[in-house]
Amino acid sequence: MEPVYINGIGILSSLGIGIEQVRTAVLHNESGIFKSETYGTECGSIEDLFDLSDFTETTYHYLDRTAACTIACIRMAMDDSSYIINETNRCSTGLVFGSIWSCAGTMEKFQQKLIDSDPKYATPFLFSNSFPNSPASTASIEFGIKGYNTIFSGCSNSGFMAFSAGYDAMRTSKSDALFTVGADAVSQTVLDYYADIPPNDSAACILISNQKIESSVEISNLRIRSGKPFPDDFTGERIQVIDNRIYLDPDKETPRGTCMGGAFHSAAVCAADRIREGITDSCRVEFTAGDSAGYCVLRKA
Amino acid sequence: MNDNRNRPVITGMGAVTPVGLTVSETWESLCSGTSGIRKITLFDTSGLRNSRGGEIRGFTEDAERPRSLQFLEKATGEALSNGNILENSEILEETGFALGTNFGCAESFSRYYTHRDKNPSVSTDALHQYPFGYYADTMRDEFGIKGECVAVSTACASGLAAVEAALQILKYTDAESVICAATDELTLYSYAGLCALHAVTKETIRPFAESRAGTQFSEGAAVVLIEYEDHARSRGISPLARIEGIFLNNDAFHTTAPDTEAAGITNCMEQVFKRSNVPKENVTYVNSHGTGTKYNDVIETRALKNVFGPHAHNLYIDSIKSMTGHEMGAAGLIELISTVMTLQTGTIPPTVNCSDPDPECDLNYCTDGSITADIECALTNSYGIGGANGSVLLSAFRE
Repeated sequence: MEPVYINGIGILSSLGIGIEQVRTAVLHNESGIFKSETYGTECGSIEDLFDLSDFTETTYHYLDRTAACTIACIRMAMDDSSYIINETNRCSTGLVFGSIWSCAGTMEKFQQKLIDSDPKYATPFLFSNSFPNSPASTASIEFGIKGYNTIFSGCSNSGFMAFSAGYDAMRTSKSDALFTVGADAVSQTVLDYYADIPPNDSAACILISNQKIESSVEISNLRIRSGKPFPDDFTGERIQVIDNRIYLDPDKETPRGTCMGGAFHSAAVCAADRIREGITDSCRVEFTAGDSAGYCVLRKA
Repeated sequence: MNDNRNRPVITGMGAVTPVGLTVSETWESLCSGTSGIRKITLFDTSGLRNSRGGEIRGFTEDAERPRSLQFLEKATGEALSNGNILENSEILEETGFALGTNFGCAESFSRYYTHRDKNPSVSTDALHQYPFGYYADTMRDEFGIKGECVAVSTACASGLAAVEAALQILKYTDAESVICAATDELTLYSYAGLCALHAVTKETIRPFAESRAGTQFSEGAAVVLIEYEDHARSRGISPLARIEGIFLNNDAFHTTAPDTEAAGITNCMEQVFKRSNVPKENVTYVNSHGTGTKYNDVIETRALKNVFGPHAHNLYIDSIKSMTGHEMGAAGLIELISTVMTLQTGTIPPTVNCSDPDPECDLNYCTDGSITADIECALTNSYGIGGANGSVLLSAFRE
C-alpha cells in the first residue's frame, strides 16, 4: 500500500473564504452564524461574501451554490499545492465528492418551475444542474479532471465516506493525485430540515497524493468504526465532528451550526493546517453521525 | 480491516423491474424478448415527449411510502433470502449497505416543496423521506443491518458506483458482507426534466438501430449481496459470480453530452483490465449501456473497438434497456444482475427493436433473439449525465 499525503487544502465557510480567514475566525471564536437577507433567518449562508470569479475565468450562466463552492475550494487546493492538471496527468487525477444535500437549492428552483408552469416547459439547465453529482461533474469539466470519480450523497456520513474513498483510491493506486471534497450549501429545504440547528455553507477540498512535497501532511491511519467506540490509545490533538458539527476542542462547546456534508473535510483541513503551522505534530479527526463513525490520523510528514 | 480475505463474490440477488418482480421473472422476460414499456399512469404525461415508460405494475404498494423504497425492500428480501442470510441476525449485524440512486425519493421532495409553496408551515415529514440516508435508516430498522451504510449518486452510473462503495465497506470495516443496492422511481420531477433534455424518444427505444431517437425511462431496484469468497464458503454458500474488477471515472467533457471521442469510457474499461488479472480475450460478452440515444450507441461502439481492437467483433453485446427501458440509477445494477445470469446460464438476452442496424454500430448486438454461449468473463458498463462512467468485470464462478 502506498503512503498518502495531503498536499493541498482549500476551504470556504461562513467563517471565511480560505484557510487564513477561517484560522483567524476560529482563533477569535467568531460565530459564522448571522441573519441571512435571503432566508430571513439565522444561518451561515455565504452567498453575499463569495465571488466565484475570484476562482475561475469561466462564465457560468447558472451554477448551483454547492457547485460554485466546490469549484472554489478545488482551486484553492490546487493553488495551495501548486498542482497543475495537464494532458499527462488528467486521467490519473481523481475527484471524490461528498455532500448530503448537494444541489437542493437548484432542485427547489426546478420544482418551482414545475409548479408555476406546465411540466412540458421544464427548464433543462436547471434540471441538469440539480443532480447530486452535478457539482463534481461541473468541477471535473472546469479543471479537466478525468480520473477516478465517485460521489457520496444523501447520508449524514457522505463527507467522511468521500474522504475514505479518496484515501482508498490512493492506497490502491487508482489515482496518482485526487481531490476529495465535502460540500453543502444552505437552501430553504435545508433550513426547513434542520429546523433548530443553523446550517452553514461549507466546502472544503483536500488534495491527496502518493508524492511527498515540502508541505505534506501524512494520513497515517484511517478507520471506519460503524458505531464501535474509538480506540483510546491516541495521545495527540483531536478534532471531533459529531452530527456534522465541528468541535475543534473536544473539551469545549464550540459548534456553530451544522456544516452538513462539508463538516469532515473542513475539520480535516483545519487539522492539516495546524500541523503545517507547527501547532501540533499530529491530529486525529473523529467522525460520528448516528451509527456511522470513523477517524483519520494526520501527522507531520 | 483485512486486505487478504480473498476475492469479492456475489452470493445473492434480488430485482424489481418493469419486466418482472423477481430475478427469475425478470430473467425469463429478458430471454424471451418481452418489453416492460407501457403507458405511464403514475402522473400526467400530457405535453411531454412520450407517454410511455417502464412503469412497474403488479406491485402491492403502500401509497404513503416512496415507491423506490418499496422496490428496494422487496429486492433486498429476495437477495438476502437466496443469499441465505435473511433473518440471520448474526450475519446481518456484520453486514453493510451501499446504495446507488440517481433521484432517490424525489417524489417526497416534490410533494414537500409543492405543499410548502402553498403553506410554509407544512409538516416536514415528506422532506425527511428525501435524503438518501432515509433508505439506509429504513434498511437498518427493517433488516437489522448494523454495518456501515452509504449512498452514492453518479446519475445513471449509480448502480455500479454502489458496487465500488460496497467493496470499500468490505475492505475498510468489520463488515463480512455488504448489501449492494440501487433503486429509482418514475416521477414527474425526473421525467419532465429528462424530457426537457430531449433524452426521451418520441416513439420507441431502439438501441443500436439507425432509426433510434432516444431512450425510454423506467423504474426499478436491484440488490446483490457481496462478500469475500472464503466467507461465502465458510457458510456453505456457492457464489454466483466473481467481481474481477471495477473502475469509475468522468469524461470531464460536457454537463449533458457524452465525449464523442469516447475517451472517458474507453479509459474506464482500460482501467478495469489494468487492475484485474483477466486478459481482454477472455471477455466474450458485454452488457452495454445501450440507451438508444443517437450519441450513446455509436460512442459506446467506438469505445468497445478502442478497448478490444479486432476482438470487439467477437463479442456478444446486448442492451436489455431495449426491453426494460432505462431505470436511471438502478439500471447499472439491474444490468449487472442480468450479466451474472448470463454467466450462470450461458444465455444472452436479445436487443429488441433493432430491425435497422446502424452501420456505425457494426458489432454483434444480438438482435435476432437470445443466444446460447459459454461465457467465462463479461463486462457491464453504465454511463451517466455529467460524464459519470462505470465498468465492472465479472467472471463465472466455477468450482
